[in-house]
Amino acid sequence: MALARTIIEPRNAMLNVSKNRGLPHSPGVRIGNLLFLSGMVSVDPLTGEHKQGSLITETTQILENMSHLLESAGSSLKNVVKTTVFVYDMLEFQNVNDVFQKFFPVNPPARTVCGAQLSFGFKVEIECIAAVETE
Amino acid sequence: MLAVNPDTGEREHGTVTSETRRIFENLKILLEGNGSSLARIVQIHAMIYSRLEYDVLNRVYRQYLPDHPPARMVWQVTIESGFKVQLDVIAAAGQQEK
Repeated sequence: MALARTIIEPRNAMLNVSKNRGLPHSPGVRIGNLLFLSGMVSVDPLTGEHKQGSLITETTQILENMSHLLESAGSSLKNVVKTTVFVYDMLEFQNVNDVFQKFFPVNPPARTVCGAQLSFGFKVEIECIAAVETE
Repeated sequence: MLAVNPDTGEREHGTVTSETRRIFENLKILLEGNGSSLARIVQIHAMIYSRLEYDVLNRVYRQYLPDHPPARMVWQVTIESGFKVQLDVIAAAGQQEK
């Protein structure tokens, strides 16, 4: 039997960046009991505006928004399997680690970090794969 | 996947538009030949040679994935052999049950 494919969206519509900006991707897709999230940049949950800042503030905002999106879809940061992190400069690597340590204190997910050139002057973009919590 | 001619196997360097079209056409052949389809794509990693071409990529992308598009991450990279676009795709097998 083929796995069901459904689109997931954040409960807070301000964080539905692809819809608000008319971009051809979805916030995330559920396939079976796995969630695949699109790359997320720092967005203000109150206004939906881009929120550029330091690597630490951007990473913190992204992981808070990611937590919201995962919880909107029956999962949570605890159930993240893999993250992919793009940073504007690998010199900031340790700052990524410090923020990750706060959000994933025990048994953190698998992770890949690369240096990349991002849009709109952002310093970091993160995507993840997570499992849905089942009984 | 890169832009390759499915009849001859030759690499088809072109614009972001032509390369992206070719890749989606080939993906269609590959997925539909294996019981899946473009509509069953879950996630795409889209690599382009320049961020300036982001909207160009989106324009072609909308033609092939009009509704419920997959999760996506786009980044600017240097792609082998002078290609301008490379797509890395995860899709589910089978067709959606109605």
